Amino acid sequence: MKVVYVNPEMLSEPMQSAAGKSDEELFALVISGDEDAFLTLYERLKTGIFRYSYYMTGSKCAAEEVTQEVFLTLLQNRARFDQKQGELGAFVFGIARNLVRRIDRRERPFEPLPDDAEVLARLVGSTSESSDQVDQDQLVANVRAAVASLPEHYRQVVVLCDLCEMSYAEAASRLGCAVGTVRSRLNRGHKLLAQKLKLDGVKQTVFRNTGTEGCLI
Amino acid sequence: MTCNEFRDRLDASGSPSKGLSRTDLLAHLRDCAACRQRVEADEQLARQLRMLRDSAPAFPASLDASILQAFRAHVDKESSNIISLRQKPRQLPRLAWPAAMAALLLLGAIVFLGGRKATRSAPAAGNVRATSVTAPKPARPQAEVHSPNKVVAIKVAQHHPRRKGSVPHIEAPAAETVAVTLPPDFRSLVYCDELSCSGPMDVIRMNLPASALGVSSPLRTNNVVAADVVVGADGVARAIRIVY
Repeated sequence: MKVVYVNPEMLSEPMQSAAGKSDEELFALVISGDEDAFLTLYERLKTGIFRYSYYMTGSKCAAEEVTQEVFLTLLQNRARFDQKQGELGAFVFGIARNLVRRIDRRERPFEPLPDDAEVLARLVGSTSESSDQVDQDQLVANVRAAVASLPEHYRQVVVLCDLCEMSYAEAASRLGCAVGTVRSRLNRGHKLLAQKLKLDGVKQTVFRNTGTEGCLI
Repeated sequence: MTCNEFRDRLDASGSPSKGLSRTDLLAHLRDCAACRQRVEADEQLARQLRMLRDSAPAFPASLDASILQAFRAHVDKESSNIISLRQKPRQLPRLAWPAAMAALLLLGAIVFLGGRKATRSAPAAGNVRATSVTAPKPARPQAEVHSPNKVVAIKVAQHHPRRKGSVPHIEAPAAETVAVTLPPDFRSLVYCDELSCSGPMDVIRMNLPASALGVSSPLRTNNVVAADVVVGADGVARAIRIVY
C-alpha cells in the first residue's frame, strides 16, 4: 500500500502562482495534472463541502465519504463541467448535493446512531463533566436534530447561510436559484426551526423528518 | 409602526440585530410584546445555530492524504491512457496513407515490368517449344559444341543461381536457360535473348545464296556463300558466320 505524506504547511499556504487564479483556471490546470493547482483548489472547496455534508447528513463519516467522492467525481467527470453554465463551485456543490441525497436514501431505513467517537465518548463520560457542558451538548444535539428534520429545501439554505457562512448570493449560486428565493426559504426555515426548538412558545417536541412535502417554496 | 411593517423590516434585514438600528424599530419593540418575543426567539435561534456551527468537527487530516493520493493515482492513470491513445489510433492514419501509396506504386511497377517482360519473352518461348517438338535432339555435353571442321568452345553458365535463404524459384523442366557467349565472328540471329538455349548447340556449315544474306562473294561465281550457323538443340539458328 502506498502511503502519501502531506505537508500541512504546503496545504495551508498554496503556491503563489496558483493562489491568484480563479477556480475555473485552477481546474484547467488540474486537468492537465498540476498538483499545486489541485491543492489550491482543494483548499478552497474542501471545508465548505465537508461542512455542508456534515450538517446535511449529521454524520462525520458520511461527510468524509462525500468529500472524497466529490473530488474523485470531479476528476472523473471533468468533461461534464461547462463554464458557461455556472461556476465550478456550483458544479462541485451539485455533486456533493447528489451524493448527500444518495447517502440519505441509503441510510434512511436505519436507526441513526452516533458514529462520531468524540460524541460517543462525551456521552459515556458525561458524569465527569460539568452540567453546563452537558446542557450545551444537549442543546447542540437538539439543534442538529432540528436542522436535520427540516425539509431539504429549507435545510439547504439554513446549512449554507447559517452554518457554512455563505452569503445569499453565494447560496443562490450554489443552489441555482434566485437570491430572493434563498431569502424567503431561509426565513421560512428559521420559523420552522424556532417551532421545533420551542423558541416561539409553541409546544412541539418530536422532530420528524417532514420530507419535501413540507416545502412551501 | 405596525407589527407587519416591523416584521417586513426585520425579514428584509436578514438579521435581528441589523434591523434594530433605527429608533422607530426600537420604539415598536419596546411597546409590542409579541414582536419583542419574536426578536428574542430569532436571536436565540441565531445563537444556537452559532453553537452548532462551532461544534462542527475539524476537517480530518487523513482525508487530505487520501484525496491527494487519489489525485496522483488519477493523474498516473490518465497519463498512461493518453500515451496508449496516442500510440494506437493516431499513428495509424499517419502511416496508413503513405503505406497505401507506396503499396500502390510498388504494385503498379510490378505489373508494368512484368507485362513488359512477358511481351518480350513470349514469342521466343513459343518458337523454342515448337522447334523442340519438330526437331528433337539427343542430349549432349553442355560445355562443347562439335562441328565438322572445328570445335567451338562455348562458355555455359547457370542463368538463375540460387541465393541462400531466398524463396525457391519454381521453373518448368524444359525452360532451363543457358547463357552462352557469342563466339568470335558470329552475328546473332536471335532478336531478343542472344544465344539462350535449353541444351547444347551445334555449328553447321551450310551454303546459302548470297542474295539471301545481302552480301556478294568475290571468290564464288555462283552467288553462293558458305556460312557457319549455330543451331540450338531446339533447331533454332542462333548465330551465323560467313566463311569467305
